[in-house]
Parts: sequence; C-alpha cells; structure tokens
Amino acid sequence: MDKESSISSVQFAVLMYMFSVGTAALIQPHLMVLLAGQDAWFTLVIAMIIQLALASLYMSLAYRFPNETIIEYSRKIVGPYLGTIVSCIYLLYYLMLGGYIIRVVSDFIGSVILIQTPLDALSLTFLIPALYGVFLGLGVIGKAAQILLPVALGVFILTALLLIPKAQFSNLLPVFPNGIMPSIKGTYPVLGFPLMESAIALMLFKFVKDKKKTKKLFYIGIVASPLTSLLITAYTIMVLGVDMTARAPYVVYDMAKEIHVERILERMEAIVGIIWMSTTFVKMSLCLYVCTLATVQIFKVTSYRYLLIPLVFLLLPLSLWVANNTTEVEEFNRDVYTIYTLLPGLFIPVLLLVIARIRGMRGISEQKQNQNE
Amino acid sequence: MYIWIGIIIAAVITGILEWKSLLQQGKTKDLVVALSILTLGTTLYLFLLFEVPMPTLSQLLSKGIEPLYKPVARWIMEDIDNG
Repeated sequence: MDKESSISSVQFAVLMYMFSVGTAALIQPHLMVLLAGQDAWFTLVIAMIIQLALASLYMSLAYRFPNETIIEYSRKIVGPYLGTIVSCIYLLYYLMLGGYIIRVVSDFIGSVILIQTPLDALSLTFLIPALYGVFLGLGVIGKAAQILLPVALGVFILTALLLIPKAQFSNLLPVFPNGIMPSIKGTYPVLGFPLMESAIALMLFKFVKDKKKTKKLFYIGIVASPLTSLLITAYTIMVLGVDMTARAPYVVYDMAKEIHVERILERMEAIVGIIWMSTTFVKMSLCLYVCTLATVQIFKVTSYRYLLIPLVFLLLPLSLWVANNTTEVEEFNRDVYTIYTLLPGLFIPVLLLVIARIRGMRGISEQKQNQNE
Repeated sequence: MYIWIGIIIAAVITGILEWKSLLQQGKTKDLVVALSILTLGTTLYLFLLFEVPMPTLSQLLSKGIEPLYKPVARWIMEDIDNG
C-alpha cells in the first residue's frame, strides 16, 4: 500500500458519511414523503437501525480480511471462477452507480440552475475534478473530504437557522395517522439508495492505516448519514408541508428558495447547491476510484492510472444511457434499485462471511503482505 | 451544442496517447484493457449520439428483474393516491 492511497480512520469515516449522504439527501425526502407522508422522519429512524446492522456485517467481513479488498478475498473464499463473477458484479455495480450519480446531479443542475446546458457538458464538469482527485490517490480524496465536510455542514446549519421562521412543527402532525406501515414502506427505496451502497467500505477498508479505531468511527459516520437525512426530511416537511414535498423532485433546493431575510438575503438556493456539489464530488470520486481499482484487480493491470481516462470516457456515455429522463431515474430508484442492490449490498457479503466462517478463513496479515510485496 | 465533437476528438487523442505511452511503459495487457474500455465507451457514446434504438440501462435492468421487483413495487404503491 503506498502513501498516496492510505487514509486514516477519521478520513474513512468522513468519506463514508459523505458517500452515503451523496445525492440521496437531495432526492430522497421527496420519495420518502410520497410513500410515508409526514411520518417520513420515522422511516429514517428505521433506516438507521438497518444501517447499523449492515455496517456490522461489512465490518465483520472487512476485519476478517483487513488487508484485501472484496475482489481479492472473494476469489480465495469461493474459488477463482466464482470469485471473478463476484468481482465483475461489483465492478458493474459501481460503474452503474457512477453513471447514476453523474446523471442525477447533471439533471439537477440542468433543470434548475443551468437550463439548456447539454448534459454532456455538465457531466464532464463533474467528472474532471473527480478524475484529478482519483489520479492523485485515495489519500487526497480523504483530505478533500475533510475540507469539504465543514463547508457542507456550515451551509446546512446556516440554511436551517435562516428557515426557522418558516418552519411549522404542526406540519409533522398527526403522528402515524395510518399506522406504522407507511413508514415501513418508505424504507424500501432508502434500503438500496443509499443504505446498501455503503458496501463500498469493503473495497476501501484495506487502505485504512489505523484499523483499530476504524470500527467505532465507521459506525458513527455511517449512522450520521440517515440522521442527516432525517433532519433534512423533517425540516423540509416543516417548511414546505407534505403535499409540496411529495411533488417537488429537488425538494431541498425548493426549501432553500423560501429563505427571505427582508430584501437583504434572497436566492440562497444556489449556495445550498454547495452541499450537493461537495458530497457528490466525494461520491463520484469514490465510485471512479473503486471502478478503477476493481478493473485493476480483475485484469491484473500494472497501475490504476492507466485506466482512469478510459473509464471517464465510459462513465460519460453511461450517465447519458442510464435513463431517458428524470422521471425514469426516479421510478427506477423507487421500484427497482433496491432489489438490484440486494446482491452486492447484502447477499454476497453475507454469503462470503458465512463461507469464510465455516471454512475458518482469515486474511493475510500486513507483515506477511509486505513480505510478499 | 457541438460538445460531442470535442468529446470524440478527446477520446481519439486519448487512445493515441495511451497507445504510445503504454507500448513503452506498460504491459500488453494494460494496453488491451485500457483501449477496450475506451472503445466501449466511445462506441456507446456514438450509439447514443446517432440515436440507435436501444433500451436504456434502467429499462434493461427493470426488464431483467421484473418478477422480483414488481410485487414489492405494487405493495409499496398500493395506498398512494397519485401513484
């Protein structure tokens, strides 16, 4: 492991938090409120519990093979042929996820800020900084995330403070008018996007330097993400009400439009966009990094840097190909994505953990790995 | 409007530069993998550019796992008025 690609436990937790918040907090409140109404906040309480269970699964597997990625140890656990199939599933999953993230953000910018700008241009604008970040290494992405997190949180807190006069707690009432079922149903889209996406930790854990502290920090980072979404969703309902939240696709952006401080402070929505730009940068960089890493490990390429630019030229058309329009992306997120994510996010990790436990398999120690290298 | 011209030219230049540099520094495998990815991406981009009739990735995946997600999606949306 070289210096450029190693990250600290804190950086790992920050990366996982920003990856998990990513684009989800931008579009998920709308979907959850559509399904669960004013009880959407409770959906995220359930999501937090599920996220903790998933995090515990990923950490069990990652600590068993601390110096390998899931691509490397899946070949050991299930054999080279099945292992290659598992690796390809992960590669395709993160390629597709990369395409979706770029598409969601480009759609968002193209429909509310830079109207009439071609999608290709918007996608490229997002891809180029991510490409440069990945070129410099995971350590640099980790440091960038540490810088961007306070900026994003600062904007988030400022927006929340400025919207206090508009927030009406009564919008969250009555609690559970149709029982608890709508909240449970609302969890379905959240399960895939973003809860099970955190399986990316299985690719990145290898690069953490101080692994003893990682578990605790990972749990904090990963649970903070649904907590952030909970706050955003509750706030959105309080400011805009249930009907408006269920109708608007980029509800957080619409919420920011409500900020008026006399005539001094208006049109704050573009500043709120900073939150999504920063979290999306981290998410896209990690997706590109993982795609490159997976390709390198599957095809045994000498350096990941050889594949970076070709992968950008694949991700760009992929982001255009994923769907014809925003509605199709939304329907896919709501209905299909969770089922699709079950394989890389739940079934494969569970299967690998069970087989590794039965066969008593453990990964190579760092010392041994250094000797081999 | 003509951003696609820039993208295609950039892809071709990248291909030529990768070819040259990987022939000198990398292994044949590196070259093959890098150029395959580049070709795949550029071909897909050209397909989209010339509006070749093909389903989107979302449509493909939805069709592929339709028996699995349809019952769940129906259950999720059963009480939604405007769904």
